[in-house]
Amino acid sequence: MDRLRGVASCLMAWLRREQTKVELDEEMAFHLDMATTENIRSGMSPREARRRAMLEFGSRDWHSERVREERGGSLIEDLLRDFRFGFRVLRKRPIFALAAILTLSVGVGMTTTMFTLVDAVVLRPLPGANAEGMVYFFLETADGSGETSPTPEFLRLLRDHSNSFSQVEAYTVRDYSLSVEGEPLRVEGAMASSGFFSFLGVRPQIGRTFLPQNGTGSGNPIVVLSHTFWLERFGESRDVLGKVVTINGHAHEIIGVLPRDFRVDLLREPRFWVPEGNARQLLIESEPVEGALGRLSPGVTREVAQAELDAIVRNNPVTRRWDRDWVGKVRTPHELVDPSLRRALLFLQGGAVLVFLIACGNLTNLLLAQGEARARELAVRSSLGAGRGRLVRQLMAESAVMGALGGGGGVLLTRWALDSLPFFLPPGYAGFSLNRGVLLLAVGISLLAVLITGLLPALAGSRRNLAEVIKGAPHRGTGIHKYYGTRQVLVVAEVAMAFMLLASAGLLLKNFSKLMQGDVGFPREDLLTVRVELPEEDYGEPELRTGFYEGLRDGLRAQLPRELGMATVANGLVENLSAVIGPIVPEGVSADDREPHPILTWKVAPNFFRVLGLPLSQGRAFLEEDASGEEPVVIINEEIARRHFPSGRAVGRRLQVYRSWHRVVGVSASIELPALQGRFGETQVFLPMGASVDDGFTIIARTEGDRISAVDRIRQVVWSLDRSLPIMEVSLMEDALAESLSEERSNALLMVIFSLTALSLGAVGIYGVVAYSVSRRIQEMGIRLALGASSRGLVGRVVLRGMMTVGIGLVLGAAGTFVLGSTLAGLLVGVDPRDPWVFFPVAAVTAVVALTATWFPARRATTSPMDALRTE
Amino acid sequence: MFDESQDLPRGTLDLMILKVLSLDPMHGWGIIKRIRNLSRDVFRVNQGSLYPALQRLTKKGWVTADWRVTENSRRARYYTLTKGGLQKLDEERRAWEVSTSAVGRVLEATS
Repeated sequence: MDRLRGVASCLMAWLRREQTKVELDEEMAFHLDMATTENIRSGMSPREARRRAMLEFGSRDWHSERVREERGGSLIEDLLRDFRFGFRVLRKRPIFALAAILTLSVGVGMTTTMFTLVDAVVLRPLPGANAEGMVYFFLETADGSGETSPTPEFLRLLRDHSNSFSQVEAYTVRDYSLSVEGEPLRVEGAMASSGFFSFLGVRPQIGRTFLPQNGTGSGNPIVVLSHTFWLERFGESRDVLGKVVTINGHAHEIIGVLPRDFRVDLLREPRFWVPEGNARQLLIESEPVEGALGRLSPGVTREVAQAELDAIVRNNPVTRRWDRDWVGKVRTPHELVDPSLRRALLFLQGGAVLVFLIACGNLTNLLLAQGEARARELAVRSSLGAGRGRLVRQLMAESAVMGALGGGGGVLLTRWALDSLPFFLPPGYAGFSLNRGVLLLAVGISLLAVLITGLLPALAGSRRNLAEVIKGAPHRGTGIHKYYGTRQVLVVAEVAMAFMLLASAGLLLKNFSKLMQGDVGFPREDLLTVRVELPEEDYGEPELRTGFYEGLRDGLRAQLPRELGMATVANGLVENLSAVIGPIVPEGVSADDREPHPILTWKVAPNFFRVLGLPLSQGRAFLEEDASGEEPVVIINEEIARRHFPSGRAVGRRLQVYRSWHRVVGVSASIELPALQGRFGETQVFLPMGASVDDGFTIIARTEGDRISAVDRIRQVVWSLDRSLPIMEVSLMEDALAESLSEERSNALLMVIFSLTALSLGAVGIYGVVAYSVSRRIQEMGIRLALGASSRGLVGRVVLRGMMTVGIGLVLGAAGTFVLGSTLAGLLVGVDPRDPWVFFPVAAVTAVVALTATWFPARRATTSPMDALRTE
Repeated sequence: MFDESQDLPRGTLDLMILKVLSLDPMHGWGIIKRIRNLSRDVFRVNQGSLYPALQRLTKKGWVTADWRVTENSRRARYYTLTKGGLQKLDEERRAWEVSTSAVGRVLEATS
């Protein structure tokens, strides 16, 4: 109650402050007048009387200051005054203020951006979802080498027979033909169980999501749009509810729009969602879904749930039908993140934190330098009656103003950075939005930065003794040398951190360029790839796909010169690859000794090897008849030949791949995929295209010069077969390779940005320290010059001294990078984390930048002796 | 003499102000003069101590301030003792008497 009244009176006093001030002035004027009158009465001249009265009265400002302090409400007033004063002070020193604010903005912005990214990718794979007790279901091969999502029939088993899961939901993503207001589109859409959205706790942007009865297949078909699709197609119009879109030929009513931040997978955003059970969209019973999720029943631990899952998989007719041993697995959302991506992101996050620390160091540096420069002002004010508390508070207010501006700048920078982030990331990462948590984080960080950096100079600045400062003994001043040491330590730390970041960036860049230029096993120049996909509704029947393939083959053969040609690949040549785990069993070896490998498979046309230029070391390429021959044939890579047929000839032997026997007709060189090195690129199998045709082709053409006409001719052939087929993804092999390396590219790019920022900040820091020490010693320099010292020698000495600090930083940075090498090694393929060809150039660059940052302020030491002496 | 408030034991100034105001409502200048006269020129209260002290007493609710017109028809801020102030004065005075007589006994001790 008392405190409340205190606050109230504080506020009242503050609101009445103007009047109070006027009244106090009048009161004191009255006092003076009375004193004057009395003096006159005692016989003085009016002038003298007034003078004496005023003398006796003393400083009115000082009195009113005391009164104001006695009165409540001075805190608010003081704070406001301090802030206003802080602004004024900053405006008077725009360069200092700008440097400090920019430094802080950069530090806050980078850390926040990286945190947003890590948050989106690593910490919260399902934004906006209620993650409590959430698990994903997977099926894993018994030896752990392969995995898939469960099938709908298996999920039904879980729903019916398990007690550990309170809910089991699933979704699956595929391409759909869509017609919106008469315009045909081909987009990725998703189908989900009817409880999917309520399970995730997703609240629609407008309208509603699925109801339980939507899953039964009764009622009119409905659809929920993604936010992106709503924006792209309907301009966020609220009228879309109730409109009808045609999906795979069936009318669906739009019932809702999902929120902006909803996504089930970082890399995919289906444009719309339909409930399982809508007309003709039943999930295929034995085809794995895209994702299956559930929630642990209250009180059930993960171990109990896993045990129950194991029991269900062991004892069920559904699972017994499966052709291999699968084990059910539950995983938390966090365990889903690709470990290499997680490692890369955390590493980059570390980099951003280093930049932030450098920024803080710089800010402290700047503020300390300011504190030194203002020593005299502070001492004078202190002796005029400003309490130490007030001075500290006022300096803190100045820092707070900078903190607020810097934090605000940081938020702006983060917005901008998040917008441009997709450019630096592998394709598919997009739409990171600044969330409130991150905003709070930014504000928190900037306040922390202000507290850390503001307190030190404030304490140093207010601990001054007027006499000492006025005497002009700054070099011998007590606090000063101590803080000069602090600042040098800061510079050492900045240089060391900048070096570490630069070295990391250098290593990642070298890694990337090495992978880019590495041998891929075939000449990559002038190689063009064109992707064609066959929509499921039109080409559902295998004969239709085979027919299209044959037409395409013949058409291309007629259109393109012999040395050009088409090779078709089920997925892609170098991108969108995925391995199937399975055993490869050569003839004569017992199947029990089989050893599962991740197998990379390409289905290829007969001229694939010729067009690509992939050499065959044994045997022959495929022939047209291979596709329809009685015995399945296979071409294996040298790695398989070496491993399974060590005696030599592999051609003519038989090999079991995918559980059926194939005759080996050739042995080819490996396709060396840089992005796959060390992962699953070793076992490569080629099967003839034509026996079964997938729903997409990649056409490979070697163009000599005229790429455009080659693309045109391919397009003509495709359209002569089916005018409605879109030509997708025309790309050059070089680009496709680069795309397959996009993760490495992002790591390198981001680290380059971090390290350059760190280097610039470090340079500012060095500049500040040297400039400060030079300005302190300018008299000394002047005297030395006057006594005949050469100016070159003087600059040399200053530079040498600065560079010694830098040198210590470099040594520490190198040591730090060596220690961190093992962390970095996980991101590097074929580059030693201690590569001297990276270290020495990085050290040289850092040294040169540091030298420049030292040399500029050092030059000021040689102003003419007269000018130097006149500065005091 | 005692020019500086620091030379007075803390609370003494407040006590004297309360006492002076218990006689008559008074403005700042008057309070100083009154204390000076009553103390026979021993205490010259400094303006720098007086006004903060008055602010302090007002805030505690022991005195109130209002603008009145002096006998020379000038506007001045007059301070008046409140009921609470009167009570406080009694308390403070009793405490003062106890402590001065105690100090006196100590000083007059002969053995």
